[in-house]
Amino acid sequence: MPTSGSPGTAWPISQYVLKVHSRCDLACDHCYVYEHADQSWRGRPMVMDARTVAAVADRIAEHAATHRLRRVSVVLHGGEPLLLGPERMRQVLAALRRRIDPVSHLDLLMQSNGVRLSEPYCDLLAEYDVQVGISLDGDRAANDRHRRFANGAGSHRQVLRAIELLQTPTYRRLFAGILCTVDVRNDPIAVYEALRAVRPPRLDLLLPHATWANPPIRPAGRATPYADWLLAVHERWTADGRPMPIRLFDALRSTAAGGHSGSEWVGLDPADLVVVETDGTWEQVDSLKTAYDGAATTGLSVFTHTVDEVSRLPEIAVRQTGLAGLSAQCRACPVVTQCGGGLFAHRYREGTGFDNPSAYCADLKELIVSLSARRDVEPVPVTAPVDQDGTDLPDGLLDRIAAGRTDADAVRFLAESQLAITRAMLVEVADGMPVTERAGWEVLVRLDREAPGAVEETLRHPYVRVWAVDARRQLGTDSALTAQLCCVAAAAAVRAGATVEIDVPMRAGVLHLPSLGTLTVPEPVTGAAVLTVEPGRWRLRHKAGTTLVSFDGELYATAPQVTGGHWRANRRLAFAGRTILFEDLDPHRDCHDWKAAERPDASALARWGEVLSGAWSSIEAELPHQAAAVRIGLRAVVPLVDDPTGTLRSSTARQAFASVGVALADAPATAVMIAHEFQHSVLGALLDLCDLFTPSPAVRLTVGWRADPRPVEGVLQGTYAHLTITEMWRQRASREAPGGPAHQRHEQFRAWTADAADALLSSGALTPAGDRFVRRLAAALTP
Amino acid sequence: MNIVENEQVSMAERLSELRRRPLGEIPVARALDVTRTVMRHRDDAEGGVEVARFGSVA
Ligand code: SF4
Repeated sequence: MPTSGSPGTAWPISQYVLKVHSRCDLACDHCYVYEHADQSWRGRPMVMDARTVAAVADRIAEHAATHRLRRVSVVLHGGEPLLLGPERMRQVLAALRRRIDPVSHLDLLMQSNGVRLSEPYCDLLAEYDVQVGISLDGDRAANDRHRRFANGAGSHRQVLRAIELLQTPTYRRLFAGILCTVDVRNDPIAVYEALRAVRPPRLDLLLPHATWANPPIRPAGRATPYADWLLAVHERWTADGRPMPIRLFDALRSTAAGGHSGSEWVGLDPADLVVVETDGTWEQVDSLKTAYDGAATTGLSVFTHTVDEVSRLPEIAVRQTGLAGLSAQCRACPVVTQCGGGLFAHRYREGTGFDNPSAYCADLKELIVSLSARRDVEPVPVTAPVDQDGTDLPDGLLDRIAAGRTDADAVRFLAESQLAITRAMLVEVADGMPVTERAGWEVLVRLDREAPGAVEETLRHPYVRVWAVDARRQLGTDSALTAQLCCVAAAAAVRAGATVEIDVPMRAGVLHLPSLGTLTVPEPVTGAAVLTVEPGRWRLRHKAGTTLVSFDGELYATAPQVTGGHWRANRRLAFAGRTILFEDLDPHRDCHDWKAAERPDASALARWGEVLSGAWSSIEAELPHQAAAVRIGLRAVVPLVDDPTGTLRSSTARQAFASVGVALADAPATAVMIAHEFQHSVLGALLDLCDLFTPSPAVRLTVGWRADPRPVEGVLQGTYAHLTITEMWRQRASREAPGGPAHQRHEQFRAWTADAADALLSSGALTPAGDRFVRRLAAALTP
Repeated sequence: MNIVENEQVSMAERLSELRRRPLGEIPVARALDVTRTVMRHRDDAEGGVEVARFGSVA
């Protein structure tokens, strides 16, 4: 079984650090770029020029398209990226967005010392949706111990000014968090209090870079000063009720429970990151520069080498091998699954290279052991165990779904479960909002009693859950996002024909009511507006005036009269003897691994109508055992942009149950795409209820239908979707003379699916329920 | 209607309670338990690590 890091395999790389400016306006003495072993920055251009940025963007886009990466993140780094100046910065951001956005969801981030952050800069970063992390080491004394200008003056005042700017309501959503480098000579509580005071959405506590050749500073007589320091912070943070996430602690908590670390500092997760220097050379993770001169060098360049070529380098691949890539001492260590040998760079020792435990080994071990002892006494909320045998599911459900015989009852059961989960998420979001902002929630609670059907219909909209997942992650940091709960409530009120008045958030002159449509006002106003909903009419009072909407009877059935604005209704298309939502408005629909299309005009919509009705005929004929489930279950189709290469594109978003994204194609191809994506939706909903596999970040399996090895969940999803595709091609082949193209397709899909099922069964990653699921699936391949 | 307090009840049962109970009467702890369970390995389902959120700079 190939696992991560097998030689010669191009592992997908989703994170890129771009050194856009190689100099810094601070001269921090703990910075690895200028103060450590590697001095390669001296020979490089000061800034990354436009040609290099374009080449990087091309390489990333090409890699993301090949590996179908749903998201990629690009971190602008330096030196100090703000030294670029706003004009050059705009060119870099525009080039990255222009090239990568059409292919994959691009998260743009920047790590900055904050010294030069200004309002014009923030406006630019907001325009390109760039998240900003600021480096701050604590209170003034702690910060200015290292973070100083070349003339020796401290930077604390300038950094705090930058953070204040990021805390204003306009820019708050840009603030990604604080990165603090630990110095054990600083008082841990003073540092913690100073950092908490600036209310960062997230805090990273980093150990200063060190290796066995250049060991950590340890004040005399103390064996584990870093563990002691971190434990002191942990104690205060816990006593405070964990006011913000601290990545290191969260990672150790997650790995303690067998989950991912989500961090390269601890744990066994594969690290999929490469760095591009200002001259366009590809480098390995930049922290390696602390080890020895040239440690991060690959000898490859964006002008001559693809990301796949970089990813195949053994030194990159070894970072993906999890346990197998660690030293013998780490592999035998009782806390290895949590520690993972620490940061790769910190393992360096002359002679043995990186085949050692971390230079922080003693501290890491002490930290992990002490935290787990604390967890034993702490009242940690225990999440009830999840079914691993399938015994909690209704009788026969697992087997029917596994065998591609999902029937109407099964899909109804899953849809009800999904609705319940969305309700739970709304409770969580509402509970996390300040009491003063819960008016929307109060309305929804009232409507749930008075008009439960209207609330239910609104909450079944697949992108309400997508929003809720996002909102629960952003609680306390993005109030404009959580405030969209009011839009959900307003949509339910419209459905119920109720009378309510409610504050709603507008962005750039747009108010979206999920599953109903979008109201646009003439001015691009952002901020709160007051929406009054009455049966047959609404009034929206906003910063630029008042907009009135009135309609007779059913909103869907009429074209409303609008003054002072423009209403675009969600449209529905005939499918399977009923109608489904054609979702081309909801801002949360763009969560698929291919970009959502803009709203098609009337003639394109008519074409979509023909295609969907043809696709249904095909599904009905070719999937007789599942057509009823698709008919009852499918709620929405999201049009995706066409792939310029002509490749068919379809997608399911994990949180958007019963919605499929497809790019326009002919009816038979669309039938296959819908059936394929609907399978993903069904399996996703099942996975919410029952564990079919144990997440093992280092296990990757090779499948016939993709070039890159995939994680277990991806293979399980792919195999399950291909079961249906196999069945459709079997039906198509039965109408064709032997040896024809449909026979070949059927054979191909059957072989791929059978091989992938075998790979899953021998992966060791399936639970008893998963094993049973895959065996049923494999058996169903031979009708 | 009583929310089942026993942590050992199945996910399906917990969801069916959430489905039936009025929104305003769902205990927050019960909702949190379900969302945590559902999101148990979703937040990072791609399997990658968030190495670069702030870069690896010290
Ligand atoms: S504690 Fe030390 S030996 Fe154990 S995994 Fe971490 S670095 Fe390796």
